[in-house]
Amino acid sequence: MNRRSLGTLAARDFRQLRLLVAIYCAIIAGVLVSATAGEGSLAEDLSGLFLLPGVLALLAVVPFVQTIVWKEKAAGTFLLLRMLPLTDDEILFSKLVVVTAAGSFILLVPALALAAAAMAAGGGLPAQAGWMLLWEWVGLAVMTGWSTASAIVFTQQWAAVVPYLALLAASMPFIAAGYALGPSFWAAIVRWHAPQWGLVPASLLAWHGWRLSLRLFHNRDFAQLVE
Amino acid sequence: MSAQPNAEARPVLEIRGLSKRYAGFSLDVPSLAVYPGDVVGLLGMNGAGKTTLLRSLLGIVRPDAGQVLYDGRLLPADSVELRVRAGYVPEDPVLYEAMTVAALLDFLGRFYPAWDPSLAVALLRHFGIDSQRRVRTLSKGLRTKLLLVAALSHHAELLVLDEPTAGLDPPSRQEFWEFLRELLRRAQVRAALVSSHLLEDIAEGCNRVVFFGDGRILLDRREFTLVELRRQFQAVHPRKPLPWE
Repeated sequence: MNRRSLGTLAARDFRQLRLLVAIYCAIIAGVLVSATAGEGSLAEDLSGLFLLPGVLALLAVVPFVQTIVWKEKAAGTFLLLRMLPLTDDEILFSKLVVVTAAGSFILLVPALALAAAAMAAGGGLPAQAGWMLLWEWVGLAVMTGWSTASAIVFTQQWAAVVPYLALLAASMPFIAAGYALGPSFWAAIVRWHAPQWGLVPASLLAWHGWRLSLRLFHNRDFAQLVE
Repeated sequence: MSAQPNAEARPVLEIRGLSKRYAGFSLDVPSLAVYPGDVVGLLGMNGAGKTTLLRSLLGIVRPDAGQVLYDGRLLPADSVELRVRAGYVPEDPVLYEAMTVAALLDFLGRFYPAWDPSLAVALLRHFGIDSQRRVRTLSKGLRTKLLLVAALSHHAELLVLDEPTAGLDPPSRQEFWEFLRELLRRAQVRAALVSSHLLEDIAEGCNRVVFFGDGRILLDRREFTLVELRRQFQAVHPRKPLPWE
């Protein structure tokens, strides 16, 4: 791939996302500040707080994709990009990278700030903090691929709903089992080394989402859509 | 099928067995060669297949089958080489509306190794386009001219123009054809493919005409007059009787 072309595309796409990224960062900062200013100790709240940036980053992926993939499709400007000496892979790869980077920013900056605050307050990090972060990031990568594939294929409404439904369907068994079995379920998950072994199928799922979106883009006749 | 200027000339561009199918429409071009100095007018009714041919040629839409050769070299199916060498002006100029003209040209120029910013400025001045205007404020004619600026600013060897005069008033159309002839005369470009459904345009600016109908080449000629073109066009598309006739 041509690095200069990718850089130009990515810079333009990231400019489209600046406002959204700032809004999500402000929401996370507001929630974290109000949560840590309460009565409870930071150490007690830390596990819950540590999940917050990840959850918001996952939710942010769909608006990001709507802004830089779906809008481009609807405006017909994918046709303009296809007129340029760019391969389909270059056009879409830059968008996947920008969405993942913006999501990673929302995920990692508050999480690292929380970790630093916890260390400064004399407490330690929550148990499995590293795995939690890694899994949130893998979830982000999966969500990026599937949301992009969805934006290429569906109308705006469906492109917004389908990724959330898929996320809900994927996490429902874990949520249900967590409620039914209580802490013993999560203890069993850790005991069976599920966070480690689970990375293999999760990474494959993320890879599949990325490849699927590239393949769908490759086969999509954007010229026909605007005629 | 292709009209050839002389036996020795090597085509700039050659199309072999190109086909593309949509629901209710199919394009089939067994063979078409474009030679140096050619200004090929692709003539046909709306939906005849002119736009599909130009887009398939450049890989903007994916043809179902076929080969494209540039300077005798076979271009791989996913190659973007022709888009580097050719300047394309589409029928519907879809652009980033919120950008200024200068920002859009700066953005487009980053993708072409041979982009010449000073040529872009000179061409903007020639066409009377203010570089600080937002793209959304430009008329269709000015958008077409802006895309022509973009097409020429990377020193394109081949021009691929889809209905370039559709949004232009008569003086601008005349200016456009004079400009194109001058480009060819000065060897700034080697050849041009221009689609139109206006017989006068083709007769005015092209030295070769290719008639399209139902996705097929019906006629390919170098010698023609406007009267002959009218006769051919009526033969291909007979006049329908009016409702009260």
